[in-house]
Amino acid sequence: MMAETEPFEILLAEDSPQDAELVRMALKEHGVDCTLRVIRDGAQAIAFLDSLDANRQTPALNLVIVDMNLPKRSGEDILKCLRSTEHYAQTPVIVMSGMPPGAVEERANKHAAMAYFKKPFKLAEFMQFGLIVHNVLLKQKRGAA
Amino acid sequence: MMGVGAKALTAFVAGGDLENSVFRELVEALPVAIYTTDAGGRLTYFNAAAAKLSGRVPELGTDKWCVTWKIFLPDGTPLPHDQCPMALALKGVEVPTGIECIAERPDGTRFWFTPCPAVVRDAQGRIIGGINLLMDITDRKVSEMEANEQFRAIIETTPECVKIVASDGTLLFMNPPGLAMVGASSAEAVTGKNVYDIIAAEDRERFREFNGRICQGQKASLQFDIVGLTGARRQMETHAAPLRHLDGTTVQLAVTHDITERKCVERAALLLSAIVDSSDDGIISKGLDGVITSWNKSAERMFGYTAVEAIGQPVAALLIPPDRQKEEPDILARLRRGERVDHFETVRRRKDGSLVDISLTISPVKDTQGRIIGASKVARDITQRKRQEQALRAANAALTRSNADLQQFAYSASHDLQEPLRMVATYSELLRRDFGGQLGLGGDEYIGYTIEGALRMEQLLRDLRAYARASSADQEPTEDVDADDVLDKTLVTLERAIKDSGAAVSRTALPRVRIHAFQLDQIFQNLIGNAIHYRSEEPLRIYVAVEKREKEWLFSIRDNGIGIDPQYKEQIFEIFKRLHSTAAHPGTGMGLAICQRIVERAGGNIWVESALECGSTFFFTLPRSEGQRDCA
Repeated sequence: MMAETEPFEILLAEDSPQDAELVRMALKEHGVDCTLRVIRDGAQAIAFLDSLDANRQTPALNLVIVDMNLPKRSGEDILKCLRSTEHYAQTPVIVMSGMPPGAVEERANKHAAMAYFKKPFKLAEFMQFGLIVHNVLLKQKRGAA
Repeated sequence: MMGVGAKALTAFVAGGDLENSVFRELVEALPVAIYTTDAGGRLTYFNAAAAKLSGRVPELGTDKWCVTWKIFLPDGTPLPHDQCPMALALKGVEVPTGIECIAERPDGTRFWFTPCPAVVRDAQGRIIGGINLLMDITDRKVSEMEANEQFRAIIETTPECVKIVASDGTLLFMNPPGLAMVGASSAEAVTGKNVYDIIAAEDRERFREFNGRICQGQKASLQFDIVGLTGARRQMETHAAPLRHLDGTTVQLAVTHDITERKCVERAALLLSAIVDSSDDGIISKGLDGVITSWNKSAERMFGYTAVEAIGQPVAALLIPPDRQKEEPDILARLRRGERVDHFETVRRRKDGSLVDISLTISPVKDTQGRIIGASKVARDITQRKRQEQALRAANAALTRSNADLQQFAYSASHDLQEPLRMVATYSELLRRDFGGQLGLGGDEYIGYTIEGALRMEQLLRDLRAYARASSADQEPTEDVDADDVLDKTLVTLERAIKDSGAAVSRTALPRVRIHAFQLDQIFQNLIGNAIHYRSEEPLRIYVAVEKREKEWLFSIRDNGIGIDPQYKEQIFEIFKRLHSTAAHPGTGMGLAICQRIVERAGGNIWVESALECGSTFFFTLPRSEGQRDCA
């Protein structure tokens, strides 16, 4: 459905390779055509965003997916950094966490996250994440159009 | 009257050769009343002093016996002239010397006199006449009577008992205050009786011995009890001296004082001082100048100074540490205004320089006119209490810390344990999805068990977190919630389960209660959820009700399910306790433990009444707050 365009550029800040793999599977299951860049800790993610913002060619970044509980720098730090960049401040964000919605979700909303996803125990529920990403991207594309 | 004088007197009385005689002039000039009579008593002569004393001019040859107008005995009885001492003497009666009589003049005035009648006899011894000298003793009598009167006035005015007791104990005299002390209505009630009878039995012998000593001439004092005529016991103190009577006997003259009240006050003071000294609190009194006036034993123990060292010293110099000197002027100013200082916690310095934590209660002391003259201070050593308070604070802080640690642990358990578990669950499912049917005999089944175990453990972790949260010292609820609203929400949450089980839920109106809404929701979810889980073959009916009690609301959730064997009715509230296998009734065994934690934290109780196959009723109470809306 979005095949005629360039693949979406997605940054995933997630320290668990298993969860990163599940995200990849979920995106694939829902046909999200993307380049998924996985970064394992908060400090690296912030460094990556800073370098991206400093690049004159301002490479595309369509979506940032952040696990709130990361080593070194927290997911919230990444969001603060993102919102303060020159070129990527408007980039849509999806927040993930192993914890039930509550305080984490609140913090996510503070940084204008498009969605909050509690990592489920059931595989089928996890796969629904692909649909959430698909919808966010769709909305963004419409907004841009 | 013999010799020359007697002869002259005889001649004089006989009336021979009186005219112009030297003797007559001498008698005339004497300042003593003198008169003479013949043997029949008729006046034959009187001198000027006699006329002057008697206030009249008697008629010679007519007046008989007396030169005076009227005569009385000392007690006031009239004495007929023919019985006067002169008349008696002329009749040959021996008249004693020193008789005192009263005479009245025609003008009504009276005087005291002592007659000295004498008879004159002829050679044959026949009475031929008499001569009488009247000694005017009025001045002496008046002063004697005045002295008596003074003495009487003193005895009657003194508040002390004045009494005279004979050596055998007979009461000879007692003044009115004495009569009042012994409860006698009149002097007759006691005089002439024996005083030993009113001395208290245990003191009687001492008193008898005492009376003996006095009557032998000693002076002494004695304390003894009497039991008065009305039966009242009084305590007496007597000061006695011997009194010699003219007849040669010696009696006891005593001034006796009723010391019952004084003894009472002394006893009360002794009691009070014993109480003050036995008190654990330091009790000190001081003047308005801050100088210590009394100092009990505990003050000695508390501050190390003896009473001798402390009394007379200013409190400020003795006890108050330098950094607290400003307290004393404030305290003294408050005392002057008549204010009391209650449980003022401060620090004082002991003799050895160490400090002691005390609680002071200081009250103004007033004199009988109500003027503030000083203060009483009660000092309580609160070192121990301060130490305990500190220990309690430390223990509390430690408890709070360990509680926080426990919460942190519960959080970690629910989060950090959950993540790897989620991997087990999710990847087991992936294994089944991608490799199902390729794992040989039993493989799929084992994967199923793995997933089931992981999911069950996830539920356990979630409940553990809820339980930790119910136990933790989270902030207390600040407002009441409407239990009706909470139940509405719970029923929405459980809508699916209620529908699937065909349960009929009925309810009464519920009140507002002071509890976190999410916790009340947890209680309802657990109890109604249990009713649904443990239903019997019969159509399930659940009834939620509330009853207003004096201080609390009694909630009840009744079902007609399988019921609970009463022997387990305590056990079911314990953490992880289950009565059924996971297969028959899935659950973590934490629901009721969570409910119990929540209810107890809210100040209530939870329990169950049930019998197997007769359904169960879960009760829980929540405190009613003041001014709460009634549900009725």
